[in-house]
Amino acid sequence: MRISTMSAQQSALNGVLNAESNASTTEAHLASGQKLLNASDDPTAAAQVLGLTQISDANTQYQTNITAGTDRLNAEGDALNQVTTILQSARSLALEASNGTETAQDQQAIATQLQQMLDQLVQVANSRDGQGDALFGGNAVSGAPFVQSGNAVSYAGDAGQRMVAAAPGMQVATGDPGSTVFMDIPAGNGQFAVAANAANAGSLVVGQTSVTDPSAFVAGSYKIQFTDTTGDWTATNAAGATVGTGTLSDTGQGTGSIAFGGMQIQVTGQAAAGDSLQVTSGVPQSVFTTFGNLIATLQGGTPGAASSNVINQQLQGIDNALGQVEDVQAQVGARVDTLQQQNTSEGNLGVLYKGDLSNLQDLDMASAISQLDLQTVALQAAQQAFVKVQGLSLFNYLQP
Amino acid sequence: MADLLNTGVSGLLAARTALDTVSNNITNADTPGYSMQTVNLQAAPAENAGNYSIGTGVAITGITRAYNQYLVTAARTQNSALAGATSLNTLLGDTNNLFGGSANLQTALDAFYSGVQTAANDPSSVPVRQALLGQATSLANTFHTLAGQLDTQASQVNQEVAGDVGTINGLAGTIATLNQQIVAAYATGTTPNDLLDQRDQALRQLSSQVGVNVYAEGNSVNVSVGSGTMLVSGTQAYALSTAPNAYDASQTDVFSAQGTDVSGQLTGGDLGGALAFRTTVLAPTQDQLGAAALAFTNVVNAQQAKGMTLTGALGSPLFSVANPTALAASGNTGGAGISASVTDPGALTGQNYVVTEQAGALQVTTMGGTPVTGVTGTGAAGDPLTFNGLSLTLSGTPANGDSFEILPTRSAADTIQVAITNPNDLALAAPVVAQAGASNTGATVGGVSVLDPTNPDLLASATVRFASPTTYTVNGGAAQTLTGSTIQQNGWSLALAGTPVSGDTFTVGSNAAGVTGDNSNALALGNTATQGVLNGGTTSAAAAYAALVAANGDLGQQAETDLTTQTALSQQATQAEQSVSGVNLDQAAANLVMYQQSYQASAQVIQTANTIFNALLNAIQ
Repeated sequence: MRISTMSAQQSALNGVLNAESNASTTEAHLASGQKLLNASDDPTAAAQVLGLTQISDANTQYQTNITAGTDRLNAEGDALNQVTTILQSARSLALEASNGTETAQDQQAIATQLQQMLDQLVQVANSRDGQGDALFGGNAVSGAPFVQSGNAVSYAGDAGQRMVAAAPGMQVATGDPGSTVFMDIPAGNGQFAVAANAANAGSLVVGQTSVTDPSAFVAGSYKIQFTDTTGDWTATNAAGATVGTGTLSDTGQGTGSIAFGGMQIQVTGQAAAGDSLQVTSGVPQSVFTTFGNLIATLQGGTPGAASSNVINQQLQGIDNALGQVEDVQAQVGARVDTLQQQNTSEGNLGVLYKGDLSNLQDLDMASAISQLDLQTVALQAAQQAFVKVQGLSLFNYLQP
Repeated sequence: MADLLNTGVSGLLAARTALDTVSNNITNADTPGYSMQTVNLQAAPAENAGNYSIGTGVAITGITRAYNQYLVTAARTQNSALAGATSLNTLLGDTNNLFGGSANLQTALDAFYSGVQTAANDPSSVPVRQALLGQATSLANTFHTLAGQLDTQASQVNQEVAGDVGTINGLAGTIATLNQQIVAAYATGTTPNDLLDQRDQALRQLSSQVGVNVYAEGNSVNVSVGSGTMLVSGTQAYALSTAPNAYDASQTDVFSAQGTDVSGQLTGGDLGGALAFRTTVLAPTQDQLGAAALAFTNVVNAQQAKGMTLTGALGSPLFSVANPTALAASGNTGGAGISASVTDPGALTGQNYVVTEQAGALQVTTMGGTPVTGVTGTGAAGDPLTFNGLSLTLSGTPANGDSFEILPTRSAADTIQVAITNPNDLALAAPVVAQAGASNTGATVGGVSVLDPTNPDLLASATVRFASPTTYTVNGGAAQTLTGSTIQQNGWSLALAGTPVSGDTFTVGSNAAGVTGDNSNALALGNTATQGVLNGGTTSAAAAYAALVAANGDLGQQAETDLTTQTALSQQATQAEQSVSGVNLDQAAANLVMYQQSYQASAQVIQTANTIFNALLNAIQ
């Protein structure tokens, strides 16, 4: 084909310009270290980068959440440990008070100690997390959740439970409301509680109680009435209907038992005619009430069957409270474990996401540099071709 | 003998003319649009000398330019395509740069949602809430930055359109004038080679601006653009003009001399590329970015409405966006206005619409003219026109034929704003709380959630009392039957855990006491990051943005490939055309030598004539 001089020149120039443009693009990639300068460099990867950024950012945030949640759970665990210590000390004191050899003065002294423990317990129950939020107030975190007035303590919080987002679709509780931990503690043996009438004249003391036949047990309130001094008893339900009768086998000697409606109640001592026991179920008793009852009885100062009955019942209350706290502690421990496991797996995922992002975004320096070398060679070749074409002209040989 | 002299002289003249032509070729070797010219020589008529005839030298029949109509047309067409591809690629490159740049919406979205989670971890902290508001503002600003850059591109396209139309009109005038001069020159019997070259060059320049159809009529050429819009007819040029779009005054459109909007018909060239960018890239990008802003606003506000603020009030919208853009045509004769609102972002189709008053009823079509089905309502205040997630209300009475353009999401990214200023107004807590009765022996609270935050009784205290395991009353009202294990009342839904027994009670009421510590709505807000809104609730705001970036990336990649292809095609076509019309200096050098020798030889003929004449004279002396 015939080539016009202008197009020969233009072709050679185009070669140079193309080679320059290619080299400059590679240079821009090298300078930024990025494979994706524009979405048009790789549209699919660009969209993937956005999706991965979202997942990766969320993953990082979940790890932050877990740290915050773990801090709060650890604070709760610390508080619960203190509660356990207090309850255990209180239990030994109550046991001491119940052994029957204590004088009124001794009991007074124990009452004073228990008083201090109650104050301490309220203080722990009102403790706050690192952010200044009440630990046991439910969602009412600003005020003090437990309000003490004398020996009576009331709960001002609610039943809310703070949650933390630990993973997509996974929320873990980072707190327990004070109502669960301190207030709603099952009374008695957990299913029913037995209280002796304060006006009992005999020396009857209630001991171990249990549900022996769960199928026959019906929750409700019952009254056990003693009609004479030989230990004959009649049990009636809330409506006044008789649900059981019997005679204490071995009263005054040590143990005797009352059984009806699937329940068994161990008693010691001698019942007087007209004495009665009250069975209740489903009514919780707060740990503060337990303390209050103990203190009031011990301050009352007359050791005897009446106070023994109350003290025994409160000992059961303390045991129940300890059980409750242990349950909550176990839950807290399980939640911390869950969060830590999640944190580890999110840490691994984070590394994975970063690697994927790097694969999509970051330039392979070695291949880019070798590409630039090739392009530089191509540019030099194009420039030399241009010079050669420029120098070729018939006029050069037409010398005068 | 006189013949020998005349023959020599004719050779001299021919060689001289040829040398002039070659010199002209050499000097114009780099002149754009110049076609190589050649002298056409012919043997002069022979003289009859009885039984033989003898040649009388050489005659010049004309000077013609090297020209191939087919190749010139092909080069011009390819030139148009190349200019269009270049223009589109440049503009798209800017758009892609914008989305790859620092104003990354995904990063801003992630920062906002991190802020939400941080607030969920410490809902009572005002500084944390303040930080979340700051992140919300910076997210809105990112939308503004992106939308603002797109607006800048729109005005850049407007300027390009105006500039191109000016250049086109100038060239059309030049071509009309050249037509006139060429016709006049032919009338005098000469071939105006240079004028023809100039006209071809003007046509080539014109093709860089816009795709043209050129057809010859006698010695003139007629030029049309688009679907037959006349630009040059003989000696008459018809100027295009620019004016605002009939609906959208911010958009510069191209109008024919007859006043028709021809923007949609023009293809190729710089102008065609700019117009194609506007319709196929810019407007959809603005709409999709707006859809992302709308989706985000919608999902966040819906969750915020289901929460309670630190002051115990129900949450008010966190973000606001303007209503859809509703534009009346500039030619409307009635006095009606139209307002639009989005009722369901999930039902939006991504289309823009034209609403036209026809014989007392409003007809809805897409911008492409396809009628929209499933339109209900009349457009009156009490009976809005609803279709595809939109609701339109007319004010005033439109005249027959009046029309309106509806752009559902065009302005959303420009107008998204943070609507609350007080950090206490962030609704991070659940608005209602449920409490089981202290003496319940059956069921406890499984959870309580908000179904309808607009229910006026939502925060009112309600006591649910079970009369039997399956019947209950609320605040002592009529007995209701429990179905499943949820109770719905006053806009909330209470889930029960366990089987209720007679006498169980539940109280549901305002969570005002728990707003400092409750983070449940903040957690729910955090979950909206991936919640689908658009396309029937399947596409989240972030997914819509990623789709937008990928779509623009695809278009950008196509435009780059297209540019490479068009560059090669255009270079080939130009080279083919130049192979015929271009000047080759080597050829010119050879011709120069040839005609120089020819001149010298002819001079020698005259010398010979002189010599033999002198010989004759000397013989006589």
